[in-house]
Amino acid sequence: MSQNNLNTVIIVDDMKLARLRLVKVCQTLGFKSVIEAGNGREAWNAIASNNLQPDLILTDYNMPDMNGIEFLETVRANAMTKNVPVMFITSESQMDLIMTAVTMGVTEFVVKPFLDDVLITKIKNILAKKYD
Amino acid sequence: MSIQNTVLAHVNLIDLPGHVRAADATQFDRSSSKWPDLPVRIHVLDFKAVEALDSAFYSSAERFKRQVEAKNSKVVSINFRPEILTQVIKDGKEITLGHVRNLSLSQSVKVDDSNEEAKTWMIKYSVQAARQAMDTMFNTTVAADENYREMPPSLADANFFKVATIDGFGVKRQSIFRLYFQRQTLESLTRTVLGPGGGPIDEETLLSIPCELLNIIYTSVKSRLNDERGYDLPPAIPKLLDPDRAPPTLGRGHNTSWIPMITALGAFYLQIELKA
Repeated sequence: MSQNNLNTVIIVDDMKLARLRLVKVCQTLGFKSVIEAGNGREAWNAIASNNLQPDLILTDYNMPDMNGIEFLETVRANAMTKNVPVMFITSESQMDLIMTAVTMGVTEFVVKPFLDDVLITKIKNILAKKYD
Repeated sequence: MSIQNTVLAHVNLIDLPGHVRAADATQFDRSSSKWPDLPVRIHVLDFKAVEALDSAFYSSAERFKRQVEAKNSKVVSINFRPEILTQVIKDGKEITLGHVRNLSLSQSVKVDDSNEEAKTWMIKYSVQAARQAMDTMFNTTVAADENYREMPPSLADANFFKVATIDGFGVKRQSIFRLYFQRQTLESLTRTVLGPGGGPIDEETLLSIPCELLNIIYTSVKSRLNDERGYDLPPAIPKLLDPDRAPPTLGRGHNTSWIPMITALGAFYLQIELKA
């Protein structure tokens, strides 16, 4: 697997507008499959029911049913997904939350609103560390 | 593995290796000399991999802490294994390393703002967040008057299409943030998002704009005021309502403020109400 052979990214956000922008960015980066979910539970159900090992997960924090921290905890607790890079993309910038995400193993943290170019660079860096 | 750092949002996360030897302390001195100038609010020493810790590291950490504090930032340490924490406590260096057991860092700041002061901060930070969001997401600038307090008279009969609302009810502060939109503005914003050749207006995208914008505005205000001034505004998820379920309020005295946000793609209106 290399950055030229990216399979799956999971985008988790309860706002269609936010997902739309992230889908565009991921298509630009060449992901073959872009899976959208409206909250952490939907995303986890998609992963578990299809035995997915995504190349990358992009998730919001503040969502109904299962928030980003609970979702991250679930991802890290599962043997199949514990090493999947997880990037938080959220308007939250409160230190408590960032620290919690850091201690739970978040890979990157981007505060909304973001510039597409900045996000693309950060994703490329993550994938370079993973595959190169 | 050597000492590595990653900047995540406002945090400089420093991963320490499994065995922190005297040579690692020297490497830390070299690497850390540039870190105090990073645009972050906190530097975090992550001890999760550390199985052995040479006491030479304490002096390096102490020097680094002084440099960081001179820049009005701070150093904390997290994720100690029990045996390493026992060693650090025995060596009397728990405070030197800034060990945190409770992640509620914001509670260390207490500013006793009056309601009027709180409202001024909320308006200031809301306008900043709205400007940044509109610039980044819609490539348009916002003209907003932070000192505007009254409901614009023309809005009493305005034909609003949707209202996004958030109840930010903490124990100390209770606030309601609302964004009012006319359909024409939302259509312009949706067209901008979809881009040229984006096809017909997608109703789901159009209806997600008020909540996403309010989410960015409120959460930015909440994060900054909780961290900087010790407020206790909670995380909250916005709701989208028809205007008859959240009519624009007038005549609640100084507890309600209106901030018209004027852009080339149309106007929208922020209402902030503080409960006494």
